[in-house]
Amino acid sequence: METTLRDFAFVLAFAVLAILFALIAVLIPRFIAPRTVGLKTESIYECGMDPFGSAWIRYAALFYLYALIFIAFDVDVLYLFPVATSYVRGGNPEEFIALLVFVLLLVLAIAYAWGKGVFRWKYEGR
Amino acid sequence: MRRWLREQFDRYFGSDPVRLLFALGGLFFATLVVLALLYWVVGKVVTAGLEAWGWDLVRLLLGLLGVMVVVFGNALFLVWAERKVAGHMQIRIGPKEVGPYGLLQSIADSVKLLAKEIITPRFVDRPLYLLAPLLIFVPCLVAMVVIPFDARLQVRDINVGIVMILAFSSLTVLAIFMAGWGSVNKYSLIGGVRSISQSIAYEIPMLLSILPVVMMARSLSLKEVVEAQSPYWFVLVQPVAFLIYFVCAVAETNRTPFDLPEAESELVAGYHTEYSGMRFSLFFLAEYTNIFIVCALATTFFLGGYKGPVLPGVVWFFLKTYALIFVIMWFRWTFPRVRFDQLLNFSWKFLIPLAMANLLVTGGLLKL
Amino acid sequence: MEGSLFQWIVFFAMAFLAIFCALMVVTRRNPIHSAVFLIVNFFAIAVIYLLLGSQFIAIAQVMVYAGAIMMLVVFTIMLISVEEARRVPMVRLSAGKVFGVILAILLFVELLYGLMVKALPGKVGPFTPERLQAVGPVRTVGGLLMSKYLLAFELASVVLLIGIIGAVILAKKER
Repeated sequence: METTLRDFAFVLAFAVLAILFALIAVLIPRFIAPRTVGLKTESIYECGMDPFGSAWIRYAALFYLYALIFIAFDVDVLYLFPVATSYVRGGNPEEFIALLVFVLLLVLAIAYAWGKGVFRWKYEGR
Repeated sequence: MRRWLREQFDRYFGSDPVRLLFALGGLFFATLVVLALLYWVVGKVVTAGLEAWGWDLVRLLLGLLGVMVVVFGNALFLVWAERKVAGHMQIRIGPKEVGPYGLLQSIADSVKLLAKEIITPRFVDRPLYLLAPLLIFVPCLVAMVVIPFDARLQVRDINVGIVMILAFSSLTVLAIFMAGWGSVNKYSLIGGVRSISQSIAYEIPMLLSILPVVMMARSLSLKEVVEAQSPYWFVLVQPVAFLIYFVCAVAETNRTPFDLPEAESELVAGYHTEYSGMRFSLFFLAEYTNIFIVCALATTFFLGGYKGPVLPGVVWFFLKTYALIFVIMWFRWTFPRVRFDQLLNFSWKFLIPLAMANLLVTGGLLKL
Repeated sequence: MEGSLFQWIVFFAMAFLAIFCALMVVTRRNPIHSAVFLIVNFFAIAVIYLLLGSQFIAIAQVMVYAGAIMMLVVFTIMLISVEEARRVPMVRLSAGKVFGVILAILLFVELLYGLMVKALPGKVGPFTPERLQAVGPVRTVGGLLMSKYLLAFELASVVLLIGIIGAVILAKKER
């Protein structure tokens, strides 16, 4: 318990240092860097043309599907990590059967998505 | 504001200098009291902290210092090495003017970057835009906590180290997306979206390729993984996992041939198009640190980490890591950039099934 | 009161941070800002899990929620048009809002009732922190998943499979 908290106190200290360091790095040029003010200095870069339209466009639902499949896989794999740490070498073949069933179900999921054409992009043809 | 203050000041003290004297005296004593209180409180906290933490506090501070040295040294070296390697692969010489063999080139570059003007475009989504470069650095440093540079040279051996690094690496993607979305630029947004899809496609095979290693080491602590590779390195028993991990590592760090989030020939500079000066260099620094981290992890998982004959462990560790980094640089001048659907489908259709098969084979063989 | 003063301070800080971020999530008009506050909320809750001594749950929280769910949220936001969503006027009072408020109050009362009427048993289970430290918390979870909760372990995979199938069917309807 104590060690756990201390472990993550290290993590927190490093995270805070990272932000502090980045903050300092961004603040230094404030004192030494030049400033210019021009007509187009503060405009968005679009290869020299005047920006047009909104940048916040809508994206294809395909990406959403990829994200959904990713979540399912992420959770599944996360279950496998504790199992992997307690996986005994030799003996106990039931463990392997359990792992096999679990992973085969995952394979089924990817096979289903594949068969349904999730991984097919429109311009790829049939 | 300033004028208002002056008016108030004149109204109170202008007519009566004695009043001013008393006010200053009061202020002086109040400061003394506050300082004394502060001294007492800080003293208490420091003694309590030292009592509770003892040598861990020293370790923490030394660790912070050491990691910073590694991060900066690595970035300075890699910027130079990248240009030198690129040069020689194209039968050029590369940087050679500043210092011997151009070694001081990256120092000159960083000084230049420090003095560059920082421009904030007018219509950006300010909180996201400003926060992104600060956030991108967090996962880099957090990963450094658990990397074992040598048998005793590790800031802290956390017993869930592997999953902790993987969990925090999602922050990188978040920061990249914040940069892409926050700078209200079409190129940036496309870069951000590409980065997310890419990292979610390649995170799964990466996890699946680390699982066999965890299975064989029976631990999530990086040091124990290294210690488990005592007769032979894991790359000899898990060559497939190593290859999958390495491909995913290249993809996760957005390097060629998977550099679509910042493809300079189509997206200007991708998600950091709108960043200039020091903010840009923070992204740059984080990128090079990430390359170091994925290669250091590959070394730890598959190449026996700090283990090796004759030379001290830390030398072996850096040798192996930089050999891998050299391979990644080599990739850059060998492979053309892949198309985006090829990129995603290569992971989902090939790497993930392969990684699963590898996992099952490992699981079966361990039971024999 | 168990736990050191330090733990209590961390707990209250994280609890307030979580609540504050939850409020910010529902009040921001910019959906991406909401998403970022959601992440901070997840991190705060992960720290609370750490205080409870369950590292693995904390890591899983960060990995699944702050990593995966976040990306889903982001893609959902990009699926809708942000510009259009901004133009929709705030509805003052709707049936949904009233229903939501009633539901929230009911839930709160329920929680309060549970805490007030029935005192928490405070019993110590078989998995004390010392025992977890001896075997390693993650390995303990793994061992249990492989023995006592094997069925739940396999069912988790089935549930996720069904989830993927459902998502594919819904999203691929038009073809």
